[in-house]
Amino acid sequence: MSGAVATLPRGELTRGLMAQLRVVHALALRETRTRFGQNKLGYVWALLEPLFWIGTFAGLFEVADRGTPGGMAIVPFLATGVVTYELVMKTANKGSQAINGNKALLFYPQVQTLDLILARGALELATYAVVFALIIGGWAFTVPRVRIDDLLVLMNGLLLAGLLGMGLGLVLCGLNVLSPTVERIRGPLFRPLFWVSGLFFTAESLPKQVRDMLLYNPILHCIEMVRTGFFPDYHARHAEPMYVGAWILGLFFFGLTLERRVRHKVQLT
Amino acid sequence: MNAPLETKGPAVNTVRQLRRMRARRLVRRLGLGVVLPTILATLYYGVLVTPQFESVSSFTVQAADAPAAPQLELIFASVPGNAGRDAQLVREHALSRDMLKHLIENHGFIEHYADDSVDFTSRLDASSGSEEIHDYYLDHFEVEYDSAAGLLKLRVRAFDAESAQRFAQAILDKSESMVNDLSSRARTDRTSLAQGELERAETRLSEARAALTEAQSEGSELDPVQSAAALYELRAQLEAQLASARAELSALRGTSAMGSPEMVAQQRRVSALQRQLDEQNERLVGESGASLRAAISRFEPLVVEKEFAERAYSSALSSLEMARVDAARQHRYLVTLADPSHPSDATYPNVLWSVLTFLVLCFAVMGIGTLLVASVREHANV
Repeated sequence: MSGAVATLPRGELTRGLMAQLRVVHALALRETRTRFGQNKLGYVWALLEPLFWIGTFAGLFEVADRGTPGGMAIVPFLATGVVTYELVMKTANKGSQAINGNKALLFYPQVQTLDLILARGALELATYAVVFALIIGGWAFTVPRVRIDDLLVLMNGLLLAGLLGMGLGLVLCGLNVLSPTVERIRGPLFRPLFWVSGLFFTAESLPKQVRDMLLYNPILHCIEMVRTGFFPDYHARHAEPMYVGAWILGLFFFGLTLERRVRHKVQLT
Repeated sequence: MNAPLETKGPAVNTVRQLRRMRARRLVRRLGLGVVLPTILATLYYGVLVTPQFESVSSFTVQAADAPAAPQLELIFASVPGNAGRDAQLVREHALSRDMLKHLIENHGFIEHYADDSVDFTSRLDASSGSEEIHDYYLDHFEVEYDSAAGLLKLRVRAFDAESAQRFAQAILDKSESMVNDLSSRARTDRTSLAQGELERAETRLSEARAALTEAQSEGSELDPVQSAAALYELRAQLEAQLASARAELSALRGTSAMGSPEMVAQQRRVSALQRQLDEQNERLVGESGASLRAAISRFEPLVVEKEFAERAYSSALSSLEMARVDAARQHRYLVTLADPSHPSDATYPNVLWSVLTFLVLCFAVMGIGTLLVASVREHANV
C-alpha cells in the first residue's frame, strides 16, 4: 500500500479522496429524500418500526411473565437488541439494493458502487443512532435516573454493526449482479438471525453449548457490546470486537474484489 | 489500475514493460505489506515470546440435594436458575481482587509474572497499579462456567508448568474454603434462630412447673381441682341415694303402719343422708369451702400456663429438628473433578497458528487497502 502511494503524485490521492467524499455526501443527501420521501410520515417510520418491535416483545415478555436477564430494564434491553439488529439488517438490505436502485446514477463516472453503499451505510448508521437516542430519551422520562455506562463502547458496538451491515451489503450487491436468485434467498437466509442474535437474551444467560454455537454470529457480539456500553452492571464477557472486525475485514475484502469482477456487467446493462 | 502511465515517458509504453512494471509493483507491495510483517511476526512468536504453560482443572459446587441440571432452553432461555448460583459465586470469587491478593501474598504471583527472564511484552510490570495487575490477572486466569453441566473450568497460564499448576491448586484450595465457610455460615444462621426459640420455650416450661410445685407445697391440697371434682362426685352419689331412700320411704307408707320398725329405720336413713348432703354442700360452696375455691382460682392459671409452655416447647423442638434437616440439605461443597494438570508442552504461543492468522490478516488488509486506494484514485481521474 505504502509502495503504491509512493509511486503516485501525492496530490492525486488527496484530490480523489475529496472527490469521493463529495460524491458520498451528495449521495447520502439524496438518499434522505428517496428513503423516506414517498411516505407521508417520512423519517418517523424509521423510529416507529423499532418501536413496534419493542412494544410487541415487551408485551410478550409481560404475558409470558419472563424477566430480563440480570434484571435489566425491559425497554433498553430490547432497544439495544432491536436497534442494533435492525441497523445491521437494514444496512445490508439497502447495500444489496444499491445497484438496482441507482442504476441511473452509475452512468456518471464519478459514482461507484462503493460510494452508493458507503452513502447508504452512513445514512442508516446515523438514522439508527438517532432512533436509539430517541427511544432511550423517551424511556428516560419514565424512570427516575438513567446512567449510561460507557458511551464509547456503545457507539463502537453500533459502528461495528453498521460496518458489518455495509460489508454484507457490499457482498450481496456483487452477488446480485451475478444472479438475481441471491435476492430471493436472502430473506429466508437472514430470517433465522432474528432469533439467534440475542434480541431477547444475553450470551451470558445461555447454556455453554448453545452459547458457543451462537457466538459464531457476529451480530450477537455487536448487541452484547452495545449492552455492555449501556448497562452499568452488565458486562458481556463473550463479546469480541476483534471477531466482528475479522468479519468486517473478510466481507469488505470479498465484497470489494467481487465488485471489481462484476463491474463491467453492470455498466453494460 | 489506471495509473497515469503517460507521465512516465515513452519508454514504458510497450506492453511487456508495462507488465513488468506492474509485476514489480505487486512484488514490492506484497513484500512490504505481507512478507515483511509475517517475518517479523514469526520472529516475535517464535523467538521473542516466552512460552506459557496452561494448567486446566475442572470442578463443581455440589449441593446435598443436587438439583437436576437445567433444561436446554434455546431462544427463550431465562435468567439462570439457582442451581448455577453457587458456581457463579465461586467463579466471581476466583476472579476477584481478594483471590489475586491471596496469590500475591502467599504464592508469589508478582515474583513469577514480573520475572526478568520473561520477555518484555508478556511480562507484568512490577510497578503497575493494582487495577493493571488485576487486568493482567484476568488475562492469564480464566474460569469458564458451563451451566448445562454445572461445571467450572479453571485455566491458568504461567511461564512454567509447575507454577501454573501451583497457582491453579491455590485457587482451588481457596475456593473450597470459601464454599465451606459459606455453607457452615448458612447452617449456623438457620439453626441458631430455632435453637434460641427452643431455649426460651425450655425456660418458660421449667418456670411454669416450678410455680405449680410451689403452689402445691404452700396449700394443703395437692390438686384442688381434682378434690373439688371428687366432692362433686360424692355429692351426686349422695343425692341419688337420698332420692332412692325417699322413694322407698313413700312406698313403705302405703304398705306399713306408721311407727313400724321398717318405717323408722327408713326415716333415719333419709335424714342421715340429708345431713351428709348438707355437709358436703357446705364444704363446696359454704363458709368452709372458701379455701378450696381460693386454691382453685390460684391453681387454674398455673396449670394452663404449664400446658401452654409444654406445647410451645414441643413445637420449638420440632422446628429445630426441621431447621437441622433443612440446613443439612443446603450443605454445599466443592468437588474437584480434575486436578490441575501438569502441562508438558507450552500451549502458548502456537507459532504456526498465530503466524498463519497474521498472514491472512495481512492479505486482507493489503487487499482492502489496495482496492480502496484504487477506488479513491478513480475519482481523481474522472
